[in-house]
Amino acid sequence: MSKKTLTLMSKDKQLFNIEEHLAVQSVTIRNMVKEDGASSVIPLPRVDSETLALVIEYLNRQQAPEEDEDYVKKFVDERGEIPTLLELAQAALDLDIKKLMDAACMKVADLIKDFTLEEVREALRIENDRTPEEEKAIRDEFQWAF
Amino acid sequence: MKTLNISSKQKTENENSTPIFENDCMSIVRKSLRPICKGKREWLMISELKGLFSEEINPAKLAYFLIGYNVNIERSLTMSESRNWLQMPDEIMGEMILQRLGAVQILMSVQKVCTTWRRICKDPTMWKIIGLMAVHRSCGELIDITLYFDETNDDLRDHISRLALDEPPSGHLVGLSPRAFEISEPALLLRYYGLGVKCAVKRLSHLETLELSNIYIHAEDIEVLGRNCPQLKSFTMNRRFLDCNADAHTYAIANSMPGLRHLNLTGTLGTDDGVQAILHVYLDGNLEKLCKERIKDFKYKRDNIPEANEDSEIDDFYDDDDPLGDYGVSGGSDISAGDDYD
Repeated sequence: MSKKTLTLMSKDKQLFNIEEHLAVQSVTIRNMVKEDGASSVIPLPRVDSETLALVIEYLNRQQAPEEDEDYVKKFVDERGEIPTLLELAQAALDLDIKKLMDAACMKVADLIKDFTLEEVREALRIENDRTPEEEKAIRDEFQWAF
Repeated sequence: MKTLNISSKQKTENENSTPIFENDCMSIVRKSLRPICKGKREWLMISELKGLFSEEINPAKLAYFLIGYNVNIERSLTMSESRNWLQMPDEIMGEMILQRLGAVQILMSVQKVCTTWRRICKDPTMWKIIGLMAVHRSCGELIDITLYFDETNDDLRDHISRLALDEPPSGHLVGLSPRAFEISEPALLLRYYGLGVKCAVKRLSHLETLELSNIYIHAEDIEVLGRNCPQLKSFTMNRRFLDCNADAHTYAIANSMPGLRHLNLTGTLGTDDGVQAILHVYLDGNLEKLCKERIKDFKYKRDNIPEANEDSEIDDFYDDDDPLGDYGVSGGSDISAGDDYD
């Protein structure tokens, strides 16, 4: 087994091994490999280990190209929780893995599509940070929509 | 430093297990651990997890997975509490996710979630691409387009009208419902919306049916509109004009839309003079004959007008026995009038 292996390091200093020919699906990693041969560990300071594990699972997929679309869809479907998907999307953005990012974002959009205002806030743990005055201003501006 | 290998190295170590099988195990473990990682559950029965695996998996391997994940569980608990999704790059949140929700949900809920999202939603690109998506998706098959204009944003309105018309609907119906305009001052409404309609209709030279609901429009704009749509066969306007001289509109219709087969002016104000102008143009004086020949369906309902003195031309034509004033012309043509004609 002489296949070259790369080591990726997550935000929380965990190490992950992955074969180079699989890792270069990420444009970011491909560029790094081109530049310095990437003999050492590649640090990914914005990606936590749980997410990186997912990304590597995705990169390790062994699908025929024509089944790839379905695989990505299934892959994100199985991880149908919004925080996981957002982490995944962010990681895919950093690593420049377009298909994965598109699929993850699409899935999030699908999930929150029919959410009410409160449900969106809860799902993403967002605090309502607007003042009552601002709320009123929006209501007035878009009165016709209510 | 803890190392968790999920990849190739592990595969070579366990030559008996196929990678696919391993992937399955991984996702099962991940699935059952996720509720705990996200703080939804605080416990997990080991037996519960065991049940998920087939007989072949050996306990050592299971333990290996679990140890690998223990670290993650603890960290995930703290991490998901502190993670602030608002720090996501706008290119993910805005362009990739929120934009897909569609204009309605953005207006109704997304922009109200918090100030960050409000800022994202205010970005013109959010709207540009939605307009593009909707119209482009139609690929020329567009037959019904409804435009809600936000009158505070001229660029947006121009943009949408331009976009909509880059691919002019080849079909029959354009519904323009700018309810947004009603909350602004009337003088502006007329001017603004009139311009909007003109711009919108300029390129729809094949338009056959035009419905204008709840809008205010200048008589001149109706003329422009009529001239730009020479194919117009059906015209509907169901809102009272703001102008006191509604006949100007009626004349405008009569002057600019010679090919009309169907006219509906429900709820508009007009006098008999206006009606006569229409009748004159379309019926050329010879009412009954031309009614049969050309107009299939003519509705004119006047409200808010006291009993008017009917002109002889109309009087002659209406059947005194019909108390509702609905008139059927033999030969399939049909004129229905409002309750004033009885």
